[in-house]
Order: sequence, then C-alpha cells, then structure tokens
Amino acid sequence: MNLFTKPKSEEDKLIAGCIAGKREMQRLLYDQFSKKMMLVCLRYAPTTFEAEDIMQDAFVKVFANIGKFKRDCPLEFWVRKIMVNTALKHLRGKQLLTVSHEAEEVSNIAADGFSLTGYTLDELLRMVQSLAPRYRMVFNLYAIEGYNHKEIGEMLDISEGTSKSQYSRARVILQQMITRQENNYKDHVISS
Amino acid sequence: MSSAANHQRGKLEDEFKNRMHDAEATPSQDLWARIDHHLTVQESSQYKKRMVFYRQLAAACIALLVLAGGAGAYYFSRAPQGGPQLATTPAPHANTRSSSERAEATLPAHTPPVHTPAAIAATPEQATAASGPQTRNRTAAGTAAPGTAAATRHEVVALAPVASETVSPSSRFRMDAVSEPSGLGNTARASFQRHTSIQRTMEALAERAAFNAGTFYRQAGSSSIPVAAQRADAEFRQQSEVVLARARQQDEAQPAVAYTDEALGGIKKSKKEKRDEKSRWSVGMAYAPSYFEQNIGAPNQAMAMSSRQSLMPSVASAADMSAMYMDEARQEYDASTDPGFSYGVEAKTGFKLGKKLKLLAGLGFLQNTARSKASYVVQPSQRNMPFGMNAFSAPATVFLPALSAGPATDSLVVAKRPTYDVEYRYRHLTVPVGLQYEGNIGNDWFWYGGAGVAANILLQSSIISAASDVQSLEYDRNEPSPFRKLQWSGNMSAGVGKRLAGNMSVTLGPEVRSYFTTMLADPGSTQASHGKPYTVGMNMAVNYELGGGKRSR
Repeated sequence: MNLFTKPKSEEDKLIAGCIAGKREMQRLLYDQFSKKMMLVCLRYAPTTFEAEDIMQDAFVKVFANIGKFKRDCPLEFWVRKIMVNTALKHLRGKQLLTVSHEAEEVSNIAADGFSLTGYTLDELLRMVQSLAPRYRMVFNLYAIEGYNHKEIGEMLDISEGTSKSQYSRARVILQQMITRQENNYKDHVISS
Repeated sequence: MSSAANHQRGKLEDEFKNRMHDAEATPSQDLWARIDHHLTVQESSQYKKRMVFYRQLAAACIALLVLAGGAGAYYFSRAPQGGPQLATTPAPHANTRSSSERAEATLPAHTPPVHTPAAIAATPEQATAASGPQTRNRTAAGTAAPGTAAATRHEVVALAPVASETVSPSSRFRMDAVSEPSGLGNTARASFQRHTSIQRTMEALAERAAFNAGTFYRQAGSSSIPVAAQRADAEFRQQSEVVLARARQQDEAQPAVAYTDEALGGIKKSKKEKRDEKSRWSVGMAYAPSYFEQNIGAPNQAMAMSSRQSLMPSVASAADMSAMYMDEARQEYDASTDPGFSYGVEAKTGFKLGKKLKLLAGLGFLQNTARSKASYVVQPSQRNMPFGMNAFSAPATVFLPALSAGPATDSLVVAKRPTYDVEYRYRHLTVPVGLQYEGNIGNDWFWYGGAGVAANILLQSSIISAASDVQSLEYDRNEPSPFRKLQWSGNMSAGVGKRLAGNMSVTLGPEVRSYFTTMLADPGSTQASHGKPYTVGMNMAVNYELGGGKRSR
C-alpha cells in the first residue's frame, strides 16, 4: 500500500468511472441523486412529464461535463446546480420567463403565524407548481435554493427589483392559497 | 404594495425550505433507460465523427505517401538505362493469325466506323426505321457490308458503336454541369428537376434533328446537303421554341417556386460559395525544415595516387605519406559526410487563377547544411596554388582541394590530427514562383499539390571547422568562390490543409527541391565527383486570404 497517496473515496471512484464513460458508474451516480433531483425538477416544472424531461437533459449534461467538476463543492450541490440551470433553460426556451406587465393586486398577508406541518409534501409541491412560471422560478431560487435577488436577477436576466417584486407576489399567492385551504378545512370540519 | 424581499426571510421561507429542500421523489422507471439511450446515441455520434476524422486523416496520409512515393520513384528512375530494349518483333506464331485478327489488333479502340455511302444507301428503310441513335448505329454497322468478306469488316465496324453509344465529351459535360446539388428542399428540387428535364428534352431534340438531317443527306445525296441542313436547323428551332415557350409558361404559373429557389439560394450559401466571394489574393508564410544532400565528393585524383603509391618501394618519403593521408582523408570524407539540418523560410503571395488553381510567388531564405568528420588537414606547400585555394594559408579541411582545378595533391601537404567536425553551410536568397492546385476533402479540410521553380542566389558559403587550429573559410556574395552564385531549382510539394476561423488556413506536407545544376561554379574542371543537390523536407505554412472581411462582418 502506498502511504504517500491519499486513498480514493467512493465519490472519487464514482467520478472517475463517469469520466471514463463507464455506464455502471453513471448508473450508480444516477441512483445516488435521482430522487432528490427529481423533486428539484418537480419544483421547477409544472408537470411530472416536463420534470422528467428536464432531469433527463440535466443528467446527460452531468455525465458530459463531469470532467469539469473541480471538487470545490459537494458533488450533490454541483449536480443540483445543473438541474436548476437546465430547468431555467428549459422554461426560457418555452418563453415562460418573460416578464408580463399585467397588474396584479397584491395584498399584504403578513401573518407569519401559520404552520405547514399539516400539509403533505405533495400538497406543498402542488402549491408551488400552481404558481406562474416566473413566480415559481423566483420563489424556488430565493426561498428554497437560497440565492439572493441579485444572483436571481443575473440568472433570469431580470433586474434585482423585478426579482424582489415577483418574489413578493409569489409569496402573497402562496399565502392566499394556504389561507384558503385553511378556511376550507375549517368550514369542512365545522359543517361536519 | 408590500415586498417580502424587503424584510428578512420569514417563517414561510423556512417552512418551505425545511420541507422541500432535501425531499425526494421517485422518478419513473424508464427514465434511466431514456438517459441511457440518449448517452448511447451521443457516444455513437461522437464515435462517427471521430471515425470520419480518422478516415480523412488516413486518406490524406495515403495520398501523401503515394505522391511522395511517385515523386521519389520518378526522381530515382531517371538513372541512365543501359539495358537492352524490349523486343518489338512479333512472335513467329503471330504471322499465322488471320487478317481479321491482325486488323482488330492494330486498330485503335476509337477508330471511327467506316460507312461507305453505298452501304448506307442500300438499306435506307432500315436506317430510318431505327428509333434512336444507338440502334441506328448498330443497324448501320450490321448492314454495312454484307457478304463473305464482311467478317473482317464487321469486326472493324463493330468497334464503332461502342464508341458512338458512349456519351460524347460535350454532352457528358452538360450532364455533369446540371447534376443535382445537394441540400435542396423539396420545392427547389422539383424546380431543378423540371429544368433538367427541359434541358434533356432539348438535347434529345437536337439529336433527333441531327439524325433527320443525316437521313436526309443520305436520301437526297450529297448535292442537297445545304438544303437539308437548313431544313433540319429550322425544324430544330421550331421544336426548341415550343419547348422554351412551355417552360416559360410553367415559370409564370409557378412564381413561388422561383422565389423559393431564390430564397434557398440566398439562405443556403455554402461555405464554398462564401469562400468564392473572397478576394483572389492571399499571403502566407512557410517554414520548411529539410534534409539537404550537397552531392559533392572527395577528389578522385587522390585515389589514383593511392594506387600508384601501393606499387612504389616501401621507403616512405614525406610526399608519399602525404599522398597516403590524402587517400585516407578522401575515404574518411566519403564515409562521414552526412546531410545536415537545413531549413527554408518563405513569404508568399498567392493569386487565384481559377477556383482551385493558385499562382504563388514570393521571397525566402534558405540555409542548406552538410557536415562531416575529419582527421586530416591540408596545407599548400607551393606558391602556385590553384583556384579556390588562395583563400587559405593555414591548415584546412580536405574538402577544399576537391573544389580546385589543378593537381592539388602535388601541391599539398596532408597531415593527420585528432578528429574534428566540419560543417558546410550555404545560404541562399530564394525567389520561388509556382502553381498550386487545391481540392476539398471536407468542409474545412483540403489537399494541395504544387510545383514551381525558384531562383536561388548564393549569399554566403562557409566551410566551418570545429577545431581552432583548422582554418574555417567563408565566401561572401561578392567574393570569388568555387560555388555557383545563382542556382535554379524545381520545387514540388503536396499536403493537406485546414481552414481555420476567419480567413486563416494552415497547410502541412512534404516538399522536394531539386537543383538543376551542381553546387560548383566550374564543375567541368574540379576534381571532386559531384552531382545535383536536393532537399527533402516538410513544408508548414500559414495562409491568410485577403478581402474576406465580408464573411466576418
């Protein structure tokens, strides 16, 4: 055993195998990240069908560019970034990210005293998917991925102010949805 | 309006992030199969691209090898052939061949058929009954000479239909010219095919008119040929006008087709067409490292002296020792002289004479080098030094007497010393002029072959000794020297090139430069055996096509 060389981790072996184009290693990498990345794609795409399309393109990109992975961040973060970028490109190709100038009534529902514990993941996902594409993008990037509005503006080719404004609207719409569902639930329980 | 971004992340963001960031969802089972298929397709397309590249590379290498081999074979096969000539006298059994066989053997393949007017006129109805020119020729051949003696003549005439059935060079050219271009859309292809069919109809009409005229000549006799020609011409004109009018009507009825053609023509300008839009002028730089063979041997006279020496008594005088050393020095020179590293640098201007033919002219610098090892030095012992030797008084290399005209060995003292290196260097200013032909291999790759002549003006020649006590000699351009001041050479090169971005292209290929004369100014009176020098090297060039700004703008 060579004491002077650092032993290769499983991830290193996986990456090396994928760079070499070994299909079994690519399958292992897919199995490792596919479930998490599927949900990422589902958050950005309106339907499961489109989410799978995005995921397919993104994984092909991952395998084509894995040689460029510099190991300066976790592999999962790098793969997730490719998923997000592919989703943005996918929706940009469909011109769903163009900013519309429609006037929307935004009312402030600033109550932060609610909880999402009563909601299933599917319900939350459906709420996010029901947002308009441009709101969905900004909401995902800001609230879940953790990008700031300047970064989001650069990614979506919009101004920082537009990003803030769109996020604000997305947030209000989600709050309205939650409030409406809670009212429906209360009405249902009271009536029953 | 309130903006959520104006305040810190609230509970909503945290709740969503906690629930969704690391959540999982199971993709459908066939997603991996789709990815796998996509990867397979991608890999196979990359493999195909690589295969195309390697095939092109292999084809280029084979072409280069064939060209280089051909050039080499041609060069080395020019040695005098003293062998007996091949016997051209026919073998004895050849006399026993029949006259028909002899006639067939001696006739060239494209001998025109011999149609006697009588033979043709004998069966006019058969000739006119034939519907096309091909059957017409066969009928004429078959009915040309009935009778017993027809066997020989039938064979002779039967050779003709083969030639007449083939498309004539001019019509073949027309067919090639209208061959369908690739990359057309359906509409454009339909339009193209319509035009092609019209052109074919015109050609058929022309042939029919010519045939009618020929039939009429035969029927009417030679006295009415001008009348028949005029009638055939008029008929042809009438028919062609009908066809053209019909074509015009179709064109008017389908203007959209023409517009589509124009649009396609505008959009689908190929790279080749774009290249043609460029200026005819180009400039380039070339560098050619090469292998130089100067073809100058040691003095032959020394060998004679050596032979004489062996018959003399064994008492060795200083002159005898000198002669013996001279002989050994010659052998050493012959054994150790090797071509040295040589190179040429040229700046060239190109002018396109045609689409693929280019005239090249330029200016360059050549440095040709040979080297040897020597263990002997020579020094003149008398005052009457021959030409070429008056430049040195100190010990020098044995090469120098080889260039002299007089009985050098009688006036030289040859001494032995430790081995030292000698370099023979010739610097030329070269003015090449030549033609280059280029052909496409792919979109960006092309091959080229070129030939030309060059005037090589000797700037400096040097005999450089590595030993400090052995004199080095240098002849500048204006100094009298044993070397030729102006040498003409023939240059030949071939290779492959690649068009890069913009108007740049690079080429690489072997180059042969053969001088028409020897290096020596007065080869008739020198003692050295000498031949014509040559260089074989690799030419690397960068070219820039002028006036290509339209493309980049």
